[in-house]
Parts: sequence; C-alpha cells; structure tokens
Amino acid sequence: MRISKLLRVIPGIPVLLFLLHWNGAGMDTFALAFLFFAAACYEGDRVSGVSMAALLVLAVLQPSPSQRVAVVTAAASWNVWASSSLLSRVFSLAALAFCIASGGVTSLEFMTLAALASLPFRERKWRTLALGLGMTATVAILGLPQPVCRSRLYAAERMEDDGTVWRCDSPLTLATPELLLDASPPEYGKLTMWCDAGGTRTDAPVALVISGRDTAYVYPGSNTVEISDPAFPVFLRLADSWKPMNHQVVHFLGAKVIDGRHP
Amino acid sequence: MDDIRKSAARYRGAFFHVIGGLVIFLTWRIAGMPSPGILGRLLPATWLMTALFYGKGRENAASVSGLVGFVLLASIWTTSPMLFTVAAACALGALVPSWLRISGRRMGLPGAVLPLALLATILVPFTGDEPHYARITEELFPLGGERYQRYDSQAGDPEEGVRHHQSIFPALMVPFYPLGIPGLRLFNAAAAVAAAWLLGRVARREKIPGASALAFFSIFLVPGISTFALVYPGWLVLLLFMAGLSAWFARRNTVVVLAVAAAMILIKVRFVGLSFGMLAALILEGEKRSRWKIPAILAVTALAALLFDLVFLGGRIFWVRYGNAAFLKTLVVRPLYRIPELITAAVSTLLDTEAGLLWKAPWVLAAIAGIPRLRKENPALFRWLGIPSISYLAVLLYWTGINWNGMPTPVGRMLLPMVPLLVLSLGKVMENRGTALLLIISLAVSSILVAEPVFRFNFADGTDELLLAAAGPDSGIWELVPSYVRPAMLPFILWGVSAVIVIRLISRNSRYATGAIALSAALLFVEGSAPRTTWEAEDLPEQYRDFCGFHPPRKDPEYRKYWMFTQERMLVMNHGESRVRIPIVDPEDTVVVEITCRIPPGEILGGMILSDGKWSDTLRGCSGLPDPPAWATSIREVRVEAKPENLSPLSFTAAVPPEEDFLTISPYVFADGKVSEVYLDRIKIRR
Repeated sequence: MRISKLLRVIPGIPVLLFLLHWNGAGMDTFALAFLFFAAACYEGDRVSGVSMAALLVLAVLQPSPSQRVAVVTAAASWNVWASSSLLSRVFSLAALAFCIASGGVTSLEFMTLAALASLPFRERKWRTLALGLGMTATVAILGLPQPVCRSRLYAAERMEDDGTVWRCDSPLTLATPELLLDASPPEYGKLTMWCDAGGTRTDAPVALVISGRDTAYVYPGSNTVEISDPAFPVFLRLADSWKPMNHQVVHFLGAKVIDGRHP
Repeated sequence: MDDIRKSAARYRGAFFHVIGGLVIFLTWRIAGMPSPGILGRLLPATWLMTALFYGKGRENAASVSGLVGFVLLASIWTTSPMLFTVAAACALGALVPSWLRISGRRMGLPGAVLPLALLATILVPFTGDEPHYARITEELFPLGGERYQRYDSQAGDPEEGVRHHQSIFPALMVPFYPLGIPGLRLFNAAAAVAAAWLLGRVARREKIPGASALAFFSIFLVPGISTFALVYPGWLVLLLFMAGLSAWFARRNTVVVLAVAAAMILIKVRFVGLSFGMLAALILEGEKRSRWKIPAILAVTALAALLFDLVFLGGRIFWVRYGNAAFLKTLVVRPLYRIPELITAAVSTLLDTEAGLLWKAPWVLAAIAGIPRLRKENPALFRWLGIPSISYLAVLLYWTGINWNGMPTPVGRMLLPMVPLLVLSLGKVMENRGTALLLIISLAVSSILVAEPVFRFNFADGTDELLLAAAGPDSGIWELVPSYVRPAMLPFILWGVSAVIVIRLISRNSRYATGAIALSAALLFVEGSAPRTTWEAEDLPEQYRDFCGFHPPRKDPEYRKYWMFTQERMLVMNHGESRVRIPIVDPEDTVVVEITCRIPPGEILGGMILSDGKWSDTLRGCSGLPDPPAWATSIREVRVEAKPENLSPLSFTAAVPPEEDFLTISPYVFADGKVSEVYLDRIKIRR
C-alpha cells in the first residue's frame, strides 16, 4: 500500500471535524467519515466515481441518522463493488461496520459479510457475485433493510367555520409508513377520515387508524373511517411491514372534525 | 451452436438491456416499490425499447454500473423517502450511454428519445398551459368536443372571450386531437426531435465535435427535457428557428428566414426577441447592397400586420393584449425605475435555485465557457445563434418582468430558445476538463426529472421541490442557495463568483476545473448537513406549526403577481390555537431570536408571545403602510391598501434563555378574547 494513497484521506479530515461539530459523534457520523475516506481513495471508471460522489452527497443531506446510515450502507456497498482500490474498499467496509454498530438500520449483516467476502477480489465479477449473494441472502432471510426510526408524515390542520380539517398530499408507503394528526382541535366531536388504499394482494387491512385506545381499519379501496370521540394525536399507520410483491400505499384524502358546538 | 454463440456475442448489448429490463421489473416487485403499475412497468419498457434500437455491440460499462446502483438502492428504498426516486432515476440514467450510442447512428435520434417520449407522455401531469392549449385545439376541431371545456379561460386572459394564448399552435395540433393527450404530446415530441435533428445537422456542417451527442443533449438536458413532449410551443418555435438557420446556411435563403421570423411571432408573441435577433443576423450577414431593404420591408409588413389586426381581427392578436397605455407605460417605466430588479432577474436566469439553470443544468457553465470559442471559430454561426438568443433573453426579462421564470410551469421552459447557442457552444469545450463532470451531474438531474416529473414544477416561493426532497426543510442548505423571490446578497455573490471561476477554468482547460466544481458542490452539501438557523416562516414543515395558514393560501405565483413590495408567501397566525415551534440547535446557551413579520394596524397594538419552557415574552407592535413605489405611481394612480403584502415589515429581537429544544411563537390574545393577526416572514436564531 503506497503512502500517497493514504495521504488522500487528508481532505476528509476537516470534513469529519465539521460533521462531528454539527451532528455529534454518533456512529452514523463515523460511518459517513469513513465513506469520505473511501471516496477519497476511489479508483475506477469515472461514471462509478461520480455515482459514488452523488451517493455521498445524498448521505450528507439525509435529515436523520437512520436515513443517513441507510444511504451510507448503499454507498459503501457500491464502492466495494466499483472501486479497484483495496484501501478504498477497506474504508467502505469500515463504514459498513459503523452502520451496523449504529443500529439505525436492520438486516445489514449479510450484506456486510458479503462485502467482507468480496474484499480481496481484484476482478469485479467476483465482487458482483459475492455482493449479489449477500444481498439475496439478506432479502431472503432477514427481509429488506429497514430503518429503526421510520419517517413520518404530518397532516396540516386548518380551522374552518364548522370544524377542523387536515390535509396531506404525500401518500403513505413503506418509506413513510405513518401519518400523524397531531394538533388537537379546541372543540371536537366525531373525526371522519377519507383515504384510498391498495397495493396488497389480500383483502386484509392495509392500514390502521389509531386514536388513543380506539383502532379502525383501512381496507383496500376507498375508505371512510369514523371515530366518535377521538384522542389526539391520531395515527394512520401501515398495517404490515415489507412483504415481497406487496406495494402498500394509502392516499390520505383528508380528515375532518366537526366542531362539537355545531349540531 | 457456434452461430448462436456468435450472434449472442454480436448482440450482447441488446441482450443486456433485455435482461436489465427484467431485473428492474422483478426487483421493483420484490422490493415492493411504489407505482408498480406505472413506473414499475414503464422503466422496464424503456429498457426493452432501448434493446430494440441498440443493434450490435457490447453494453456500456456505465449502464452496468447504473443497473447495479438501481438494485442496491431498491434494496434500501424504504429507509428514506427520496431513495425510491433516486433508484428509479438510476435505472433511467443507466440508459443514457445507450441512447447516446443509438443517437450516433444515422437517423438514430428518434429511436434514442422514443422511450423518453413515452415516459413524458404518461408521467408528466397535464397542467399549466397544456389544457388551455388543448381547449383551443378542441374548439378548432371540426367535430368539437368537451374534454377540456373547463379550461375555457385562464388568469392573464386580456378580456372575456379573448384568450391569453394565440391560436396557430393549437390549430397545428388539430389532427392529433382525436388521440387525446398522448396525441397532442406526441406532436410536440416530434417537433422536438426534428429541431434537435436539425441542430445536430448544423453542428455537423460546422464541424463541431460530437454533433449527434449534442442533438441528444439538447433534448435530454434541462431546459430541453422540461417541456419535451409537453403541449407548449417552445420546441415548435425552436424547430422553426433551426429550420430558418439551416435554410440560411444551406442556400442563404432570405425568404425562409423572414417567413420563420414572422411565424415565430404568430405562434407566440413572447418569441418576438428571437425573431428580431434572426432579422438582425440577417441584416448583418446579408449582402451589403440589399442590407437596408430588409428593415424597410419588415417595418412595412409589421405596420400592415398591426393594422390588419386592428381593423379586421379586432386587435385579437396584438392590440387587445399590448395596445393599452398602461402596458406601454410599463415598458417605459421598467428600465427607469426597476434596474436592480432587472439585473437580479438576469442573474437569476442562471443562479436562482428554482428556475435558474445552474441547479438543474450545470452543463450551461461549460456551455458559457465555450461561447468565446464558438465566436472565434464559427463567427457566422455565432451571429445566427448569439444575437437571437441574447435578444430573446433581453425581451423576456424586459417584457415579462417578474414572470421571466414561467413558474409554476416546468423549470427552464422560458429559457428553451437559448438551447441552440448553449448546446453548440458546449460542443466546443466537450473535451475540456470539468465539462464531463458537469455533464454527468446534469444528466443525473435530468434522469430524476424524467422519473419524477413533479420536481420540474416550482412555485416561485423560494423553495426548489427537488432540493427540498433531497435535503428536507431543516437543512442549512437553504441559507446558502440564491433565490429570486428572497433575494439575499451573500448567496448570489457566492454562487456568482463560483460560477465565474468554473467558467474561466473550463475555458482555459485548467487542470483545477474538476476540483473546483467538486469543491463547490462539496462545500454546499457539507454546509447543507448543518441544521437550519434562519427559517423563512412559510418553509416551516407541518410538525412545526399548528393551525397556521398561508397568505396567499395557494402556492401559485399568479396570486402574488401584482404585489408591489414583496413576492414571498407568509405564514399566518390568526387563531387562538395557532402555534409555531422553532427548533433550537444548541439549547444549552442563550440564543437571540430575530423575527420579521407584518402585524396589521388596529385600535390596540397586536403582537405575539414567545415562550421557551418556563420563560416567555410578549412582543407587540404594528406595521405601517408605506408610500406606493415610484414606478407604480408613474404608470397609474395607486392607492396602497392595508393588505398584508403591502404592510411594512416589523423586526423584533429577543434573547431566549437556555431552556427547551423548541421556541414557541403564538399570537397575542387581547383582553376581549380576540386574537392578533400575525403574518410571519422570517425567524432567525443566533447565539
């Protein structure tokens, strides 16, 4: 290993310090720092290099540690596959190790083992094979990697003459599996929620509406859910986690609480 | 067996695309990604269509990388809301090398962009001016129809019964009306392909390297892709422009150039700058003897056309829109009083985060670097491209004022006529250092905009939808990006200087060019990882606000078009339950909060209450009503009404002791139980 290759990590050090300053010394920050080092030592074709840089940028921009860990995992796996520099691949593996240590994303073990197994191969085809096997094993045995802290959508509430209404334009998917109606209206009666759901292969509920101890179900198709005495915050949550061939989606069309003072 | 093996080896690239399409289809389903019925089928279909046109040869290594990237990102798509789009864009971007290869063949361009036309036709929402053009086409269709009847009128129509849009462009689409939206869009896709093909032919004739790639880039890169296959007249006008240019360079055909210049105005008056530029080039390039005949003929023709419009058409084309005293005064007043705004608009065409080209199409920096070389090596071509482009831009900024960006229609739509100049200049620096990196970034952004077209639509509210999805509202990146509607000196200077440096380095083919681009991007994104400390109130996400409204309630810039003092939306607190919670980055220290807002005047001073755990403070005041701006009074008599957008901004500063992670702002409640109205503009937190 040449010293000059190691020297390439120097530009990453101020970046690391900056990230530590802003984000605290979490495992995700260290994972990101090692990804910087891996990128600094990258060797290979230009398009893969730019793709690596793009993933790095995306990782930096992720708002939460678990989301950052997920993108670092993808970028590090990518680099293990794409980079012909052993040092770069070693740094990527270190980044993956910190990703696991952070606990931000589940089911990374096989992927990391595959990355470790592919490390010594100079030829990309063997690395492809090892990573492909690792990924297949991950998905088949442990399921799709999932963040520990899920992204959440918030519905915007608005006061109208006869009550409070909520709106949210983004659909619920496995990437954003929960919607929250957080603000409690001043006077309230019955909560009515409208949503369309689908993407599953059975008639089982796609999502749940949780309000205190009450739970209502959202089935495939158009739904009108009514809760007579809602307790806020109210959650609309996908019922199931990932299953192959299922594309759960719920379109929240709105909700309304008629003001209790009105008849 | 040998024959099969040989033909398999010969068509390896095509097989790769078939396999790639299957991999994407299966991965999409196994991973449970959203939109399996549309995007989950369309993307594999684009791979199969590409396989059809790929022909002989091996696959490109970059396409393999793209496919691997897609599989990797698809396996973690549930971990972040943006990853699904990035994965889809990766699958799409992987095809770019293949499309470049296909477009390199004789008549290969239509095959290369066919998948893009399919995606645009199905994925892009039918919004903006599209349904209005479709409605005019419907009216002109001999059998009539009612599909688009509710789009009979539009904001900006000069008077009832007279449309904002001219009828020639919709009339050309009449034969395609029975095919519905896909028919109308395919007509425009064909116009774009023809324009790009002519552009490639001009490049080839002028010996500009990479002609076929340039033709493809003119469609795939922003601003070309923004309206590719959409019902907007931009690409049709560009086709006419390129046809005029080709006619001149092939046979020095003055008649065609004059006809094209007239046709462009008849299609849309906005393109008058392009027409004038063409005519100016014609005068400069024409024979000296007849040089002054052309302006004379034009003046007479223009006068005759205006008279014809006035007498026979009742002024439906020109006079009803622009033949009034207020409009003429606007044109005169604008340069006298609004020079800073015009300069900001001019700079914003490049730097504005929502509509400027730098953010969606950084390749334009390389293109600008190539302009001096185009001027030096192809002076005639430069005159024919440069004068119309500059003339178009000048007229656009001067004429349309704050509407230069065309929002909320697709980003870059109004800058489409700049494409020939920019793309052919790009060809001059294609091999220079730094160009490749800018191109790759631009191609990646374009791939995202094709896979997720909603990111093309911004609302002139200072927030770019793509950047918002990538960085989130909490990111410090918003304090660093220039915005036309929220002009702040520092970001404009920062990015202006960076752009100039990059342009200079690329034009000199400096070995530092790539490094400078990478450094600029890295600094932006690393700073972007820092938490936000200055909040534009209207950017506050739902979890930070309760029972707050917006002024105006809708995002469309049309509702802010006639505001005189600001173009920014405001967050309204006007209810007893209204609350805003601002995250405090470092709650261990005392922080200073600066709040800019507008509070309507009343009998009792209005205000707001700041609280942070055990501490609270009441801030009270009211906004004044400023005098109308000089430019407005010089056009007509103006009375400034006490509307929120007309109130002068108030600024409050408060020191908040260390307590909680959030600072709460709520409106002041008067003794009689009424609530003070507060229009929040900006909240800045510093130590």
